[in-house]
Amino acid sequence: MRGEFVDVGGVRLYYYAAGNGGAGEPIVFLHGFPTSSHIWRDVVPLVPEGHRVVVVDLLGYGRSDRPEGRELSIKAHAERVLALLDILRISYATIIGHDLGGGIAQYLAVRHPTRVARLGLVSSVAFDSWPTREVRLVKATLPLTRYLPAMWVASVLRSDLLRGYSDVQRGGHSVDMYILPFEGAEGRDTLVEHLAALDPDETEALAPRLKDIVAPTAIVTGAHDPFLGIGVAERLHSSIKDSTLEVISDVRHFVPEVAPQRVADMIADLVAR
Amino acid sequence: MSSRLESFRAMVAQHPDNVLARFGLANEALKEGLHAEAAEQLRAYLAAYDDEGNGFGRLALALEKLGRVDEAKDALHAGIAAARRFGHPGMAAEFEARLEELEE
Repeated sequence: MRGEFVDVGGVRLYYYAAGNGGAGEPIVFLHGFPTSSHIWRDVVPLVPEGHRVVVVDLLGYGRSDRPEGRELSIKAHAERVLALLDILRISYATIIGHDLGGGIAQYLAVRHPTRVARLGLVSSVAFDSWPTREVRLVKATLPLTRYLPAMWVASVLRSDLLRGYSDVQRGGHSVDMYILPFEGAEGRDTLVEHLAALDPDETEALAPRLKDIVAPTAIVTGAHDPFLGIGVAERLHSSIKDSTLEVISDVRHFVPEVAPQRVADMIADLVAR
Repeated sequence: MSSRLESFRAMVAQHPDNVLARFGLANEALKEGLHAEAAEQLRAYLAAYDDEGNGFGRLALALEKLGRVDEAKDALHAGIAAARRFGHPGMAAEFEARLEELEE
């Protein structure tokens, strides 16, 4: 794997590349809130050969720059991803998104349909079904959150994220990594920026256009996702023509980490369609 | 013959004005090696849709497979112009490299 920083419109985005290229269209992985490219680490080695693989840290996550006031909407993330793909000379790719990354993938498939060869939505946000009640509550008190102790905010985020794992001990290591950029006062302010930007109106606005998606689409979700629920995936499945739906039993929200082989199998089936 | 190909053919037959369905059909045709059908659908799509560049790149690919190199070059030139107009310099550079290969 080879990682590097790329200047995209004045901010540095981190991505790592894997795979050895080949005849297949590139595969691009997008993480969600508040994770990073780390979430795909066990999926990437299982991706079928013959594809260039690009795994992105979105702005304000992982190793990419802090947003520092730049827009963090789904649209803004999507346009930056598109600009990154332009720089990497990728004009047509399979886009796989988890959580918020799934919302970004939907945006790309709807607004830039000729750039998306295939679409994979893993525990994806959609419609007006997100964020969770807890996050909505935090959003409602955002002016206050900015003045709360950074350590306390990080600990609240940590315990909420752990609900997304059935094996809390296993999830703890990943969650510690995900909340690292949000520790300290600067990190708390970054987190506040992300929280303020989470807007279900964006995915709700895409809903009437989902029927127009022409890229082969696969949808995967955990049977016990406490954040999104199976209903979201089922509604996506019924909205996107010829999409496939797989519900993985005994798994909660962080499907790529807990069931990487199942996600890789989905990708193998998807790129063969 | 894939069911997706048949599904898109039916969709285009039913809604000939649906340009994205034509783009979808063209992609399915390309996968099946039906390059003439892909080129026809891409031309129809490009005539009706303000493509950002990749549609021209796909058309060039289909035309190249059909041995229609001069038409493929024209498609790449149009793709370069569209990519630049929509602010996709990387895509324009990719097409320029393909154009150079075709001109060798």
